[in-house]
Order: sequence, then C-alpha cells, then structure tokens
Amino acid sequence: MVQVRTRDVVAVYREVHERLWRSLLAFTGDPELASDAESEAFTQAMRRGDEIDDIAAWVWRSSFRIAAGMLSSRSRERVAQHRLVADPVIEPSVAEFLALLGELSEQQRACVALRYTGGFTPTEIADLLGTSSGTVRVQLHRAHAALRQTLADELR
Amino acid sequence: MDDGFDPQLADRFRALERVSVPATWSPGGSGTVTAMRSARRGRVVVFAAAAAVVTVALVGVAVFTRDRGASVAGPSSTASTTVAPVGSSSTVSTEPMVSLPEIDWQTVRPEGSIASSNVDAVVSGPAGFVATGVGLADGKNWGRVWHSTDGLTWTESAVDLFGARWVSTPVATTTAYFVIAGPNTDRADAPADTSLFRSVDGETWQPIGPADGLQLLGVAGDRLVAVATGAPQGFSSDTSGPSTTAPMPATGLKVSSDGITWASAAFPDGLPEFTTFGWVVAAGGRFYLDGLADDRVVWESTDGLEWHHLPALPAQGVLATLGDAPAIVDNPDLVPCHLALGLPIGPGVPGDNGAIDEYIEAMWQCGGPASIWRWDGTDWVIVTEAGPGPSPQFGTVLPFSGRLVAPVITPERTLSVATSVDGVAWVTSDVQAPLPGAGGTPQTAIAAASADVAVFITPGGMGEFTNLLVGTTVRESTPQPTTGLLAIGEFVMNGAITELHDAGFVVDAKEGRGRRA
Repeated sequence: MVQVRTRDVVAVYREVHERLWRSLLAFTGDPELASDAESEAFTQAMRRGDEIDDIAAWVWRSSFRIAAGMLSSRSRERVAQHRLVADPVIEPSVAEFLALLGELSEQQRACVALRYTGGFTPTEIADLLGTSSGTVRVQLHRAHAALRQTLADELR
Repeated sequence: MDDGFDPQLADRFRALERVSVPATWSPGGSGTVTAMRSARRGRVVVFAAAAAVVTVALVGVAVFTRDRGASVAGPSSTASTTVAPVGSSSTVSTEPMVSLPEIDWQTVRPEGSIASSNVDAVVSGPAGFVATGVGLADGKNWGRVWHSTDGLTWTESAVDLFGARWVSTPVATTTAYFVIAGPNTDRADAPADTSLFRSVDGETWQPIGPADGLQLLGVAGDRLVAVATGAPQGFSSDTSGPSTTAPMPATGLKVSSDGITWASAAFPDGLPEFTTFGWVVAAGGRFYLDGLADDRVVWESTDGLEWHHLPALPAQGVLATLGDAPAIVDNPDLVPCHLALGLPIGPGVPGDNGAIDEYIEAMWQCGGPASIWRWDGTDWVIVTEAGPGPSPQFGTVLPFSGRLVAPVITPERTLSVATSVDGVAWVTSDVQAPLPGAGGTPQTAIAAASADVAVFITPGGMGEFTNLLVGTTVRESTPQPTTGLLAIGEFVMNGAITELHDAGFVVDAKEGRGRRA
C-alpha cells in the first residue's frame, strides 16, 4: 500500500493554505470554487503519497489546474446548489476587484494571482504552470495593462 | 522585460487579505484522505468521512469525512457461527440454512421531504431511526430531522424547530436521541443559539442545553461523546454519519451523562496538539474512538471517560465493528488503481475541460473487495482480503440480524448490500438502488441498523431523489420446501417437509426420518 505522508501533507497545508486559497480566489473569483480546488488538490496529494517529491509545488500546480478544469467544465453548476457552509463574506470592494480580474484571460488571471497573492516570481510561476518565464512575463504585462486601463476608466 | 510586478496592483491585491479564509481540507481515513469539501458535496469527498465525497474512504476531518456515512454501530450481536439464509431477492448462499432469520431487501423511493433532500446521517435508537440532513426546497437551506420506525416511511415532525437551523449528526443512547442544532444563516428567522436537543420518540424534541463549539461523535453507553471544536460551527449538516467535519484543531473530547454538564475525557497516553476525532463505535462492551493525530489512531475506553490508544493501524480504512471487536475496513486497491489509471490531475496533464470528468470517471472504475482488519485485544489481525465489494467506497460494516451487512457500490454504479456471517465470506445482494446520477465521485450510503431493520440511504445528490435500500428481518422464516424421499415412521413418502410439518410430523431431515408429534 502506498504510504500516505499525512504529516508532510498536513504541514504543507498549514503552511500554504491561506496564501493558496486567496490565490485561487483571485484566479476563480469564487470562494466556493477556490475551496473545492484546494481541497481536491490536497486530497490528491494524500492519495499519491510518495509519488510526489515536492508536495507544496505539486499542490499549487494541481489546485490551479483543478480550478481551471472546474471553471471550464462548469462543474460549478453542481457546486452552486450545495451551500452547506457559509462562504466567507466578500466585501463589495473586493468583489468588484475580483470581477475586474474576471475580465482577464484565464492565463493572465493565473499569472497575476500567483504573482501578487501567491508571491511567486515569474520563473517560479512558469514552473508551476508548465510554461516559459517569458510567457509569464508577457501575460503579466498584458494583465497589468488591462487592469490599469480598467482602473483608470473607473476613476474617471 | 521587467520582473512582472506592479506596486499599485499589488495594493489592490492586498484587499484579498481582508477575506477570511475558510478551512477547506483535513486529512482523513479510509484508504486515503478525505477532503471536507468533497464530502460535503455529495459527494465529492471526506471522511467520514468519509469519507464521507463520495465518501469514503475517508475519514475526514474536520475529522473524518463524509463517508457519509455510516451510523454508529452499537454493540454487536454478530459473529454467529450459524449460516445466513439469504432473502429471496439476494444471491443464494452456498452454505446450509439453519437458524438465522431471513432478510427481505427492497429498494424504496420514499415519500415526503426526505425524498428531495440531502440526507447526511442516520442513527438507530430506542424508537426507530433518526436521520438528519439538508433540505433545499425553496432554494435555501433547511435543517431537517426525520424519524422512521420501519425504515420505509419517514416523517419530519419538527419542521418549525429545525427549519431555520443547521442540524448535526444524530446520536442515540438506549433511551433517547440527540442532535446539536444552531443558526442557519441562510434564513432570516434563524435563532441565535446553538443547542443540544433531545428526543425520546424521534418526533418531539426539546433543547436541553447550550452546545456552542461542540460536535457529537457518538455515545459510550449512555454517555454522550463530543468534540469541543474551539470554534463556532457553520452549516455543518455534511457531518454525515460518523463522518464529521469539526473545524481543526479540536480542543478536547467532552463527555456528558445528561447533555448539560460536560467533563473532559482523559488521555493518559497523551494527546497531540494537532488531533482531530472521528466517531465512536461500541464493540464487546467497550468503546472505540477514531482519530487522527500524527497518524491515524484508535482509542479504546471502557466508560467514555478515559481513553487509551491502540497500536498503530495497519490500514487507513473506516472504523467499524466486527463481532465483539473493532475493525478497520479498507480498500487497498484504491490507490494503486488510481495510479494505474493515471488520473488526469497531476504534473504534465493539462487541466482542460475534460480533466475533472476523467478524474471522476477514474474513481468510478477503481475499487475492489475490502480488506478487514480486526482488533483481537493485542494486535490488529487481518480477517479477510476479500471482504464486501467490489466497490470504490466503503462506509461501514454493521451488525444486523446475526450477520454483518455493508453498503457497496456496484460496477453498474448502483448501491447494493453485502452480507457475511463471519466477515470472511461475503455475498452481494441482487437488489440495487439507484445512486445520484448527476455526476460526482462515488460515495457510499449512510447506514444504520436496528434489531429488525437495516437502512441504507443513498448519498444526497444535487437535486437527486433519495433512494433507500431497506433490509427487514423476516422473523418467521419462510418454509423451504425440500423434496426428497423420507422415511416417516413406517411410511415412505415423496413429499415436502413443510407438508409433513403441516400434517403434524416432526422431521429429522438429516436422518430422513420422522415421527408424529
């Protein structure tokens, strides 16, 4: 039987949980989906046991992929009906900002979420997303431009 | 090219730090881990529990997840050495029929509010069954408590009392049922208190004391056992069955005889700071508590007040009872199967539209017969590597009508039941209840058994109808016509034993002889 490294995974959860969840919130704009994606990633990490070398990196990578899959496959429809646990209260200003991020492309959102909420460098983001650092920098540049433009429009 | 950092945008992102972060996951049992969210979802995840979802296998955490299921197994009357007759709707056992009563298995689409609600937990008690869950009749959450004496018809008599509350997993002593219920923030008329409610008949309920931060795990005799979570609970009806989802970390185990005064349980062996508790089962006059500290742990107690940990578990399965001893029901094929199928979520695999669906599909394909490990008083001993199954999820093993019963998920993605007399040889019934078809990962049913009725309830699906698989003991065994050449006194008859009985003969079928009574 695959040995489950409970302690290691739990330690990673305690270390990255808040940062990861907020990054997923920025990426998805949906606290419920952020929770689902994070939960599923940690569950998978436990199941895979020793197959994973770097648990933290794996969880970051997988949770974003899971979230992306949920967004695009509309799994959300199944989720929406089952609000058993109250979602965190999202302030209106935060909700507006999340809506703003929602205007970005999926890849741009992933990059800015990992950059600003996750605290990763472009090179680290590239490693997590399986792309080049150049691509990440380009996506960040485009996201910055789009967000600045929108924010400027809002201030007018 | 810059470093991709804009200080002004960074300020905007800092606003996210004002969002409170919910607990999303906790390690669980059964084979792997349970994720709170999954369990909650009908099954998406655990631990139970395991879970509880589709549960299982996982004891979750907040303790053990959704496995939704299993009820707390009372002291077992199983481990009979006699052979189990099988109901007419079940696969026929090859073993001889003798003394055990038959079980009539049937599937039921219940009427009333239970039909369209998510049932999260069920327990057997002094006046039948009590189940709790969530109703979504008007698009908002309703706390629900149902009662049934026969497992077939369910009533919800305390709508006004629980409608504006969340309701926790029910537990039962020999004299009463208990649930904890608190404010349901989904409803404007929600009361402010979180209280322990008691019922003798399962229909009428009275609040008997405050229960802020408490979560019921089971009973030890007539003592209630609860975990003090150290945090307010949310709408936690997903604490199905033994699978509960108490926020981590737990601050301690509490015990009460009256539901009003709570004492702290003692752990002479020590209790790690980071400990979550699962649920309590009773076996052989003792009580067993499932939990997760640095590793999975089972504690043993004679009174619920003092708990001693047993040696390390040999597997990560669900805590159940097997005869007069606790047991671990594990699915050893689950993880290797997942690995062999190459689940689509992981390094090198894009999270495209089909990834989640592929993952769910893989979960349905995995699973096999359970392994059962039994505590023999000194060590964990494997009973069988071919237990109930095949199934991707195992919720529990319950003692019922002189044998063991366990819910299983069939390859056809239906809910069925496996029975065994000794825990070694298992027979899966032909009766199958539909599982929710709205997708999601496989989850086991919640289950409970009284002396005469065993109830399996399909895990709640989003908008899916609830289905029941109910086993009823047929006390008066159906006569089994056995045709043969029998010597009755001085007569030689070619007939049926039942006909001879009816005619007033006592028949020794073994000897093929009989005499008039």
